Amino acid sequence: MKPIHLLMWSVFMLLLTGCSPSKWDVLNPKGSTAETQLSLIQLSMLLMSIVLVTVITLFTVFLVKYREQPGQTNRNPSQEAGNKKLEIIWTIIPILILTLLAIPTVQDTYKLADEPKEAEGTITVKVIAHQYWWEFEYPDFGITTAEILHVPVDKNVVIELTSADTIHSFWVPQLAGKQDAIRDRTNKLSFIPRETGMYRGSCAELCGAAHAYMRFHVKVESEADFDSWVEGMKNPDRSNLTSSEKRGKALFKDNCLSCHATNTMDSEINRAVAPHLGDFASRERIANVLPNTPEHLKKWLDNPEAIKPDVAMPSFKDKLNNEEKEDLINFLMSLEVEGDEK
Amino acid sequence: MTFTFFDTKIKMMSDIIVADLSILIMGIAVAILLTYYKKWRSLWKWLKSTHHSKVGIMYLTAGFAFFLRGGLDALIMRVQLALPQNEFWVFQGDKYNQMMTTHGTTMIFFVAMPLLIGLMNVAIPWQIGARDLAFPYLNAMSFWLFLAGGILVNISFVLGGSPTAGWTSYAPLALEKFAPGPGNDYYTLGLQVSGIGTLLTAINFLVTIINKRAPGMTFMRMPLFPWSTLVTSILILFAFPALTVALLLLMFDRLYGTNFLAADAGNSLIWQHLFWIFGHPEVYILVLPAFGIFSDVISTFSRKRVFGYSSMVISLMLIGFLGFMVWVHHMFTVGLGPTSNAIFAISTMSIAVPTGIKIFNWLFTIRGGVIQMRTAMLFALGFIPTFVIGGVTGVMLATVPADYQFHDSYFVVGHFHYVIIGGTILGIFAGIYYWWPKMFGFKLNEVLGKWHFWTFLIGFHITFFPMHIMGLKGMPRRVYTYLPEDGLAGLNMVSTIGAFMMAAGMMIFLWNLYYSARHSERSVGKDPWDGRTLEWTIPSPPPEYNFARIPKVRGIDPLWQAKTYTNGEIEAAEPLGEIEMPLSTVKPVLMSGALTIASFGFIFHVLVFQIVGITGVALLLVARSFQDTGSQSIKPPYDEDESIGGEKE
Repeated sequence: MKPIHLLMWSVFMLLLTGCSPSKWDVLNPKGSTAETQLSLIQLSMLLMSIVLVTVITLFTVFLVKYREQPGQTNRNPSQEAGNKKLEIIWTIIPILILTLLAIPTVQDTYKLADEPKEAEGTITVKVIAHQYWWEFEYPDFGITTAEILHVPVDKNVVIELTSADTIHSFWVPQLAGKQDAIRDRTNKLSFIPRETGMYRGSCAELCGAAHAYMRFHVKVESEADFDSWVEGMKNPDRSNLTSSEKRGKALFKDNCLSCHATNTMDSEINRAVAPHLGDFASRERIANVLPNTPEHLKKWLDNPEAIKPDVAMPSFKDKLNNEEKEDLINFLMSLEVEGDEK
Repeated sequence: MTFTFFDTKIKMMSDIIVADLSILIMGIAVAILLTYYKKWRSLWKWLKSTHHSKVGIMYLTAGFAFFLRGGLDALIMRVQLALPQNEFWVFQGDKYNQMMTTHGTTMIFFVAMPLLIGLMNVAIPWQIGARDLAFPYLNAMSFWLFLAGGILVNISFVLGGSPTAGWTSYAPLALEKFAPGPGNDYYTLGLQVSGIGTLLTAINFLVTIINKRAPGMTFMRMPLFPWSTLVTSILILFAFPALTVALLLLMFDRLYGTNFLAADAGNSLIWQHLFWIFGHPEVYILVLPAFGIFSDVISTFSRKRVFGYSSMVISLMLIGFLGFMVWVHHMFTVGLGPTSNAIFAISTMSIAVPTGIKIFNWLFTIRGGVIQMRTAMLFALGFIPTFVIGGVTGVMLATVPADYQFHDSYFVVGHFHYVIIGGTILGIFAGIYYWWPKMFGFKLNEVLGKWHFWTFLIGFHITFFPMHIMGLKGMPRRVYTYLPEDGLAGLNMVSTIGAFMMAAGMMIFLWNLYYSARHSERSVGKDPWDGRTLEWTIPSPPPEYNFARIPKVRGIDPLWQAKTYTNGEIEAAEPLGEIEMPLSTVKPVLMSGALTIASFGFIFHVLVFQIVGITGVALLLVARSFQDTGSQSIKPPYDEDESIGGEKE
């Protein structure tokens, strides 16, 4: 492809995606670690554009100038063997450019390996990756949750990563980049969130059939909101249940509790078999696949395998009748953590 | 529908039935065509052949057949990914992983490598003035082992399921516990068998290039394709044993319950280290021969000698050497610590220097030349900007903190397709268009060739450029779907459209092969491109012995020199006489067949097959060591013209 086409194509692509690059997750950091990463991405992109532009300019000029003309008579150009001076130039200049890039690379590699110290207060979260969900344990507060990681804004957040089965990779583009979660190892990843909001995260290392749906969210909230969420997780209040929800709770105890934990029944037991459901109602999607509505929840209970491949959850199609499912769904839809701001 | 194949239940789903049917129909069609044109006997001759150009052409044929399969996998993946939460046929979850794994494994081991090795087979003896490779028997072995491995990996789809753990096949995902069934055993056995073939090829080319150069062709007078082949062979020689060991560990873990790579008892990172100690040099194994092809093609069609020949050679060696020093850059996010990450970042960046030297040398080869826009040259020119884009994203990936974002995202998928398609595949096409008249005695059609080039290259950029953006928008690699709110739908649709454009380019290429075979002019002479190197001094296609008399070489680009300073004839180094050529033999086919039987024995845990297969291989090895293949004498026709190529034009 001619370079000019390439350029036009790139511009076209930008228009086509309908949004400016500043909105792309990696280029729009909201955490200290992602900011450092972006600064290097920008530096490397700048230096590499210089290289790219040089090569493409020379390429175009030579191509236009030395293309065989129709009826050209002198078809035997001089057979020059080389040019020492030129060859030294294009050895030295790339070395200089790469040195410019290598120095901050090494500095920042070491910087990111250390826990950040700038902010006051540190929150440590143990993250255990499972086929195909994320478990978040807060050793300081004695609480465990799943799928939505809550962290307070402007604090040092230290993630201690490990895996229960295959290798996974914890990736939150806007906050922290990624680190692998490997069984038998603990990897650390730390960052200071700069802005409140919901951030997308996903598993980046192929981990099995449902790798695509091994996603999660990071909820960055104000310190007060975070504290009230922690309080809500520790001391759940589920006294005012409707009669249907109460029946659902009993069904949950008989059918679901052997794998799923919720705050009301035994938040202290960490079963680590299936996601904690304490804040189920506030999740956007069921198992990260279907939108979280009662109709979809029924579909999910009937045939989880058809919706998320290789999922450990069994089908409840024949185990529960329709009324029972309705009660169970009502109960699940009532599972919210008090103090968890929407 | 389910049936049992050696105690393994095989579900007959619609996709498998379609695959079975298409295999059946293709088989019948080939059989009918062979019978109709009475070609069974010549097919048999080809299968037994140990001649370098015949083996080379078989490599190319098989490589392109696998190319179509790998391309089909790619199209299936692109259709599945075109829309968010799409459900195309059965290709979600495990089935998608099967497609993704076979696509990668096939394209690297059974397309890129054999096509390059095919071109080496064809062109190296011609370019260095030799009559055949050093070990023709071994060469046939290599081909049949590669083919057996390729068939094993590809047949898996209809016999128990394909491997699912990606072409990198990381433990513990690839272990029995997480990937039960025969799929990943096909991977270990298939790659092991074809890997032996590749290793033998490397030894063969090393010895050939060191020992069989024509008199006067010193190392520093060799064309750059033989040079890159020499360096590549050294890389294979040191890199493939690491893969062999890794595959053995994986195979033992899967088949015999050892715990080398399992968590708790073993260490899954052993696999990653061994795999990438092989895997990174593999990248250079794929791209260096293409560099060699580009050097020859660019020089020929600019009508100039290669600019900075010695720095080109040194760069090749440096790239090859540094290629072994960078494997950890595939593992930056594994958590090996900042020191090791920093060291490997610097070593990775340093590869950009010799690569840059090569790029500028190519640019200055064009400068001052007379550039002829033949199809082969177009592919070489298309390579330069494409590969440089892949190269600069490579440097960006080497920047450790940035890699914490890029790693295992679609940015990486974009990057390595720019390097491998932009380097290797464009190089292969350049080589095919360039040496085709020498192989078959007619040129490929230039008009169709140009259509092929533009459709393929534009389709390529449309497919892979958006992938960089997908990565920046947070799309991880190897996912079979994404959500509507991810904002990835438009880009993925564009990418899918591009993939179909590339497929159209491939169809034009296949049509070109057929069209040119029927309609192209038959007498292209010895030197259709006004070439510079020895292969253009012999008839097209060359006789079995290539050179009736081995030429005497007096400098770089001997033919060009001869055309410039003398009457275009190259002096011969020997008088005309009888030439000894090896006889053909069917043993390599049998040996690879025996290994295939053994492999099936391991994959399906059938002891009898294992014993029969291994015994067969052992017996054939013993038989081979007690009996030489023998040789035949050929008397080339007397040539009054005294030209080294034999017959007159």
